[in-house]
Order: sequence, then structure tokens, then C-alpha cells
Amino acid sequence: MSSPLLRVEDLGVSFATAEGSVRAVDSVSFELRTGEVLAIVGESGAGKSACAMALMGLNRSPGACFSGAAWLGELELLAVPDAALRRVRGTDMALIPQDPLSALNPVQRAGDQVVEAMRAHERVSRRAARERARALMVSVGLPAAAFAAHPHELSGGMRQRVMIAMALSCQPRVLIADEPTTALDVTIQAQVLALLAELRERTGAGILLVTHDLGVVAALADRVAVMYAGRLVETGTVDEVFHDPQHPYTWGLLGSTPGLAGARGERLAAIAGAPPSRLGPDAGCRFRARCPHEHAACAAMPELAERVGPGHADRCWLPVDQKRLRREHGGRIGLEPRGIAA
Amino acid sequence: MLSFLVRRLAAMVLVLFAISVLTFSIFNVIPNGEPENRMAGRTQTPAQVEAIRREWGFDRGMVVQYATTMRKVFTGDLISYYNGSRVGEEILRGLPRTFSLAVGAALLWMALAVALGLYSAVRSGRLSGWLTGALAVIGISMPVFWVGALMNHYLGFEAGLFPNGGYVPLTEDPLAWAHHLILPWTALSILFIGVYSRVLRSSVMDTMSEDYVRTARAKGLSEGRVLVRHVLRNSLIPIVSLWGLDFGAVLGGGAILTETVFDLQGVGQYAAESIDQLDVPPVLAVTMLGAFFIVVLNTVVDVLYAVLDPRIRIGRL
Amino acid sequence: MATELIDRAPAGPGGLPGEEAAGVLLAPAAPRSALRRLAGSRSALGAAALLALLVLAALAAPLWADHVAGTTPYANHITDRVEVGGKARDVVSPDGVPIGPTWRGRFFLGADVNGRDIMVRLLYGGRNSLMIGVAAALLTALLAVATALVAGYFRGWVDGVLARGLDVIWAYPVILLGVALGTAFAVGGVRLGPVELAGDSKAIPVLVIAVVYVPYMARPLRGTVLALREREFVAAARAQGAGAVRVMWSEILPNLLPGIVVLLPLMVANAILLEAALSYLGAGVRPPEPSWGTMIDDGVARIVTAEHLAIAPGLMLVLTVAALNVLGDRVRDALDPHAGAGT
Ligand SMILES: Nc1ncnc2c1ncn2[C@@H]1O[C@H](COP(=O)(O)OP(=O)(O)OP(=O)(O)O)[C@@H](O)[C@H]1O
Ligand code: SF4
Ligand SMILES: [Mg+2]
Repeated sequence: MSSPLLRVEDLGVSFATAEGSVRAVDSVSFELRTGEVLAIVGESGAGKSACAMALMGLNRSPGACFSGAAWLGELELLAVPDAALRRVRGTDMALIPQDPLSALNPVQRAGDQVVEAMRAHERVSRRAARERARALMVSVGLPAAAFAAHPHELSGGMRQRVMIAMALSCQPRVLIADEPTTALDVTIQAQVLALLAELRERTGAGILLVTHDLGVVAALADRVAVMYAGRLVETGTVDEVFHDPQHPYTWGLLGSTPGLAGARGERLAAIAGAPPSRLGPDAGCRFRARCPHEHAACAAMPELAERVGPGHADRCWLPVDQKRLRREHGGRIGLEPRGIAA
Repeated sequence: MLSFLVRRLAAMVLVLFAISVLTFSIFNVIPNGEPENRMAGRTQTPAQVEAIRREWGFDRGMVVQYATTMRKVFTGDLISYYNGSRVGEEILRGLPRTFSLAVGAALLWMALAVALGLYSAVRSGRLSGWLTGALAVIGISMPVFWVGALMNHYLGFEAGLFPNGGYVPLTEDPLAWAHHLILPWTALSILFIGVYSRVLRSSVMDTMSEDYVRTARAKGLSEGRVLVRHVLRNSLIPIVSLWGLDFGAVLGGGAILTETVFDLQGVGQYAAESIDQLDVPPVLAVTMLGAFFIVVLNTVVDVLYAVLDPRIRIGRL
Repeated sequence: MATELIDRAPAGPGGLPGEEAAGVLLAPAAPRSALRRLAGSRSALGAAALLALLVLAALAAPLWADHVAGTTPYANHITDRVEVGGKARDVVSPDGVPIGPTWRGRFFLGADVNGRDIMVRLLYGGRNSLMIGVAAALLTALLAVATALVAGYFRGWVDGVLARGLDVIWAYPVILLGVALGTAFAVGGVRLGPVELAGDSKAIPVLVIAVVYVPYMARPLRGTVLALREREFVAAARAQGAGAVRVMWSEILPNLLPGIVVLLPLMVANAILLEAALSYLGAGVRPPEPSWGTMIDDGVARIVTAEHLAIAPGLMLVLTVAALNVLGDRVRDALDPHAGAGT
């Protein structure tokens, strides 16, 4: 196995707010390898973006506090100064944002923004950069006219393609895609996903895919990390997590996603309740308040451990056989309560 | 574009008309000292007075008087009630002075306001940002003529660094021209720097939290480039419109206080002195000139908007 | 046009700038939490304390005049002598130079060329400047709110006429209009129905300043009214048969209040500055009545012989206006927590 492109160890991110310090991300660890797509899934507010932005240093601010380590090759991303981080942004690590309209500068032409990304790192003439940018934009499926267009003149899918072209402009090894399809309508989503899949094949880049949509995960990812309230609660291959999910929160997610858990368009079971506050210290498993299977052991925080097998880890105290028993409801996975554990 | 210009032109005619009526009525509701007597001068004969009365329509109703005066505005025959001098010539004499003040000051205040506003936005939350913000508040809180008088006294009179008021034409001696104008430029700019840097600061702070600024950082651009290429250009839009209007107003003689305190003898000072003598024709002319520049610059601003922000189309304005 | 004077709101694209309701239709934070935020800001407290001190000083003017300085703001003491450090000195020297600050009861800040006590005039002048500033700002607000309500509520030709009227005043250079009105009113006096103002009345600068600034307040408020007019609660009130006045008064006006409150301190600040400018150009407060503006005017004319004549009233004015501006900023931050960071 090759050494990972990106290795995150025990990452913590907290923000100072008027109410106190909010722990957006807590002891998150994962690895991303060449040509691999790792998806981070979780509901809104889970800390997915905070985690991704911390890697690029884009949420550094006087009120933000980072702990742990993140290695991009030999470079420790959390420790290096802004100037050094700037050199890897765009070249080794690039961002594909959620909302391509607000992420594009409204007063600059699309092509110029791609050219700017190229020339930020490489000594190329404006002319050569323009040629390359034009070719790159065509290669991600944009019409030639898009080069000279302003963002507001492009459709949503085209804007996201511009962002992708911009991200690819210096052949990054790691792509961080923060909900790349959320702002797009369904048919465009499929096109953009296909484009990302093709890119991974062609360039061998590792993609860190942030999403709350398990459909996107199924379409693109190799491995998944499920995040809940700032912590990873389950990690494994897509196959493992989708077919042998270990954490009740994952069951809930799978149960509430149509077309995944073998459902035939039945009513979706959304997970009742809201995530806990992340101001004070933890009182046991963070999913407790919403978990129908909560029991005495849950008063202590479970570790993220490989309980079923190598590579597949979860953060739940239930014994594996209990998990397998409780997650099935008439042949589909879900979180409906079925008796409270002893 | 054409229809835009036509509409703007029509609006300008309307505004100028309304402003001239307003000016004319302000001075005609008050006893005005029989302008025909004042115009005829000291060695007047009753025939002369009668001729002037007839010519200007002073013996007829307000509407006729207004119409005659306006005709004289456009034929260039307007003369002062006070001393019979030709208003057109006086204005032409004052315009280069006013223009010199306006152009220099407008460049100075825009450049410094951008620098100060950007700095205080980037440094916000720190002492240096707080201090620059405080400076800007002091800038907008000082009366121009007071600052001007103090500068004139301490830097001009006591230290002897600058001439004590007055004006030298640019064509005569560019250095002396600038030397005479440095204090007026500075005094007038202080206020505007305060206003503009405050507006710019808040618009920069808004822009900095935009997604596309994050994108620019994600591309690996240097912080300076992010600021100039992505933050500044988008933040300039609100102050460009202020700038156009204020520049237009100063061009049209709006900087009366600065012109007066430095005795520049520009059109603004001319208007203020004419008001003092209840001399309607010069006031009328200068007001219309001022409004003309304001409306023209307003149009220029709209065009600039469209240049700065491609989402705005001229035709739709 | 606001040249040289006003701290204007930034403008938007299209039409005449400053037209849209930018920054005025605030998310009305609950008044109590806004007050709490305001009280939590050190600069707001400092500015408020400074203003309170200035108002108190102005109120105490007769006390100082009677009991400390022993004179009036109008009394000349050209030929008097005053004891300074054991020596008797001329209040105004034979060659016309007035005495500088004595730092004691009589002529604390020195005298002017007429031998009048500067400190006493400064206190009485502060009364006039503050009164004119506040009265003009309130009158501006009254006129502006009325115009905005009527224009924004009735829309159509009423709005057309009022809005164009505002545009005309707005395209008139501020100081030129102020001086023209001030001079004309001073010569002829003003008759507004039953109210008659003499040419030297202090109400004239109030009226002039108020009229000049109406567009700066009315234009943004009108935009807000136009926006509020479209909201459901207005439609609901109308559906229940509420008349125009009722809707304007009890549905729309309360929603304008945050915007008005934010603009008021800035309006007072600008009114005080305009009073000074008009007085400097001879079209404001009429001498011998003191105001900071007339005193600066006097001082600027004699700055070569007696610097303190210009410096003392100027500093008072700058302090007051700066405090009002700071307070205005903080009030805006408090009512609209998202706009800019306060300190
Ligand atoms: N700059 C910040 N200051 C304060 N709190 C923050 C900041 N950024 C994020 N947070 C908080 O951290 C938590 C995680 O936010 P994050 O944006 O990472 O969520 P997310 O998983 O990306 O959700 P979404 O799906 O909505 O994008 C949230 O509670 C958020 O309020
Ligand atoms: S640890 Fe307990 S509370 Fe947490 S998910 Fe597992 S069963 Fe539910
Ligand atoms: Mg997110």
C-alpha cells in the first residue's frame, strides 16, 4: 500500500463565540490515498466544512483554534505559516466549493479566474496560460464561449465546471470538494459527478468529498467517514458502511435516503431530534439523546475502534450482533426503535 | 445606451429647470433692493433705469422676469445686479480655480481614502485598525473652514511653508500652482477621506466574507493580490458613486467653504459673495452650473458602475 | 449635494444614488438586546458620557456666567483690567490684542476683541449650537418621515412629485442652498401661516438646516416605506379596513423607527456642522448671539492676533460632533449586529 497523500490525525477545530468555545471538529483522523475518493458525510452542522477548510487553512482566524496534525506528504498543514500554506493551495491541494455562483468573482471573466489560478503558481506567460485555461475548460465540458463569459452569464452546471477547471489548473494531488453538487439540480448533479469520477481516473488525484447526500457517496466514493456532531462515528469502505453499518446514526442516515436501503419509495424515516450543543464537555456518546438504543454504557464516550474487522471502525457501545439485529426493519436498514437494550 | 443618454438628458433639463425656479423664487420672495437701480450704477439717469427695467422685465410679473433672466443665462448676457459685471466672464475666471481645487482634491482623497479604508478593514479588531477608524471619525467631525484656517495660520503664516491663500494659473507656473493648492487640497480632502474610508471599510469587511474571496485564497493567491484583485474591486462600487457626486459638486462650486477660507476666488466663493449682496444672476448661474455637474457626474457614475460590475447593464438603468 | 458636509450613506446602482433603503431597513433587533449591546460598548458609553457632560455644561452656562465669571455673553470689557498672577492686565490691549486664557474664574479662556468672556460665550454658544442641531435634526426627521410615509404609501403621482422634489433639493449644492435660504430669510423674515419669524431669529437656521437635509433622510426612508408597503401585515391591516393614516401611523411608522434612530445622531452632528458653516458664511446665527459657528467665524478672522479665539470653539465643536458620530455608529451596530464590527 502506498503512503497516503493526506493523513489527518486527531484533528480538532474550535471557534470562540459569544457563548463560549464551540468545538466544531473533535479528534478526527483519516487518510486519503492516490486515486481514492473519501467521502465525509453527516447532517448540516456536523463539522464537515470546518474540517475540510482547516486542511486548506481557509478558516484560520483570530477566534479559531486548531489541534492535532494533518500531513500533506511531508508538510504539516496545521503548523505551517500562511505563506507556506499558500504555496500548496491550488498546486497540491485544490478546493471545489458548494455554491459555484457565490464562489466565482462576479466582476471577473470566468477564463481570467482560471488563468489567475494558473499564474499564481507557475511562471507562464499570460498567453500560454490563456491557451491552457481554454483547453482545460473545454476538457471539463465547457463550451469555448465560456472563457470570456462573466459568471452570471453561465448556468449552474457550467459555473461548477469553471470551478473544477480552476481547481485542476495546477494538477493538484488532492481535491477537496465541499458539497460540489448540492447547489445543482439533479441532472446537472449527475454530470458533475461523472466528471469528478473521470478526473480521478485520469489524473489520479485523491478526492476528499464532503457531502450530506449518500446518493453522491454511492456514485463516487471508495471509502466513507460518517461524521456526527464534530466526531467521526463510523469509517469503512462504501460497501462495508452501506451493507454492514455499525453505528445507529449511520442506520438513520441510510434509512432516510431513498433508493439506497432497498426501499421501494416508502416514507423516509428522518432522524428525530437535534444534535447536542458543543459548548461544554461531553456527557457520553454524542448521539445519546437521539439514539433509541441508548443504554447504561453510553454514559461514557465510545472510542472509534475497529469492532467488526480491519478498516471498518465505529463509535458505538452496542455489541456487533446486537447491531446487526437491531438495524433491520422488514428487510431494510433504519433507526426505528425496537425495544430498549438492557 | 442611446436611450439611456436621452433619458438622462431629459432628466437633467428638468432638474436644471426646477433648480433655477427654486433659486429664482428664494430671492424673489424677499425685498431685493430694486435691482434696476443697482444695475444702473451711481451716475444713472431715469431713462437708463427705465430701459433696464424694461429689458429685465422688472416691471412685469415673476414669470416674465424669470423667462428674461433665463434667456440671458443662455445667451451669455447675464449681468450682475450689484455691479453690472458679466456673470459669464466671472464664472469663466473662477472655473479654472475651482477645477484645479476639485481635480487635485478628488484624486488625493480617493487615493488616501482607499488606503486608509483598506488598512482599517484589514486591521479591524486590532489597535491600529481602531486608531485609523478613530482618525476617520475625527476627519468627518471637523469643519472644513476651521481646519483650513488653522492650516493657513500655522503652516502658511507662522511656519511660512505655504503662501497665504490665492491662486496661480497652472499655465503660468505649475509649481506655484501646486504650492498654492496643497493646503486647500488637503483641507478639503480631510473630510472626504473620513467619509470614504469609513464607507470603504465596511464594504471591504462585507466583501472579505464572500465565498469568492475564499476561492481566491484557495487558489493560493497572495494576501495582497486577494485584497487588490478580489476584495477591492468589488468594494469600490459604493464609494465610486459617492466620489462621482462629490467630485461633481466640487467642480460646480460646491466647495464654498474651502474656496472662501483659502481665498481661491473660484465659482463657489463667487456664488457665496453674490448671495451676500442679494445678487440673483450669479447665484442662479452657479447653482445651475453645480446642478449640471452633479447630474453629469451622476451619469458618469452609472456608466462606471456598469464597467465595474458586469452584472449591471447600462440599458437597464 | 452634500459637499463638504455630510456623512452620506453609500449609494446603489441605477437612478439617483442613495435611493435604496440600504442599511435603513434594519432587522429590528429587540430594543432591549440592542440597548444591552449599546451599553456593552465602551466607545458608546464614552461618547454618551461626553455628550452628557457637554449638555450639562451648556445648561450650567448661567451659573458659570453669574457666579464664576460675573458677566454675560454680550457684555464688553474692552477697557477693563483683570488680575492674573498678582498683576493687573488689560482685557484687550491698546493695540487690540485680547487676553488669552487666564485659567481662573474671570476670562478663564481669555477674551475676544470686544472684551467678552470666551468661556461664557462658549457655554452659551454651546446652548445655541446644541439646540439648533437637535431642533434641526428633529425637524428634518419630522419632515422626512412625513414625506417618506406619504410618498411611499400613496405611490403613483404623489410619490412622483415628492420624489422629484427631493431630487431637486438634493441636486442643489448643500451649502449654496443653505446660504441662499439663510440670507433670504434673514433679510425678509419668514411667515409660515400664523408663525412669523424675525430675520435674526434662531429658528431661521433651524428651519434652513432642516429643509436642506430633508432629502438625505427622506430618500432612504421612502425606500423602506415602499418595501414595507408590500409586506403582509400592511395588506392585513388594510383588509381589516384600516385607513391610510392608521396604517401609516401604527403599521409602517413603528418599523421605520430603528432607521430613524440610527440616522438621528448623525443628523444632529451634521446639523451642528452646517450651523457652523452657515455662520461662517454670515447666513447662520446672527451676531452678537453666540454659537460655536459664529465664534469660530470671529476667531478665524482674527487668528493671527489671537489663536485661542478659533481654537476653543472649534475644539468644542469637533468633540461634540465626533461624540455624536461615534454614538451613531454604535447605535447602528447595536440595532444591526451584522453590520460591521463595533468596539
Ligand atoms: N467561523 C466559525 N465561527 C464559529 N462557528 C463556526 C465557524 N465555522 C463553523 N462553525 C460552527 O461549527 C459547526 C460546524 O460547521 P460546518 O460548517 O463545518 O458544518 P457542515 O457539516 O459543513 O454543515 P453544512 O452541511 O451545513 O455545510 C457549526 O455548528 C457551525 O456553527
Ligand atoms: S453508544 Fe449508545 S447512545 Fe451511542 S450510538 Fe451506540 S447505542 Fe446509541
Ligand atoms: Mg458545509
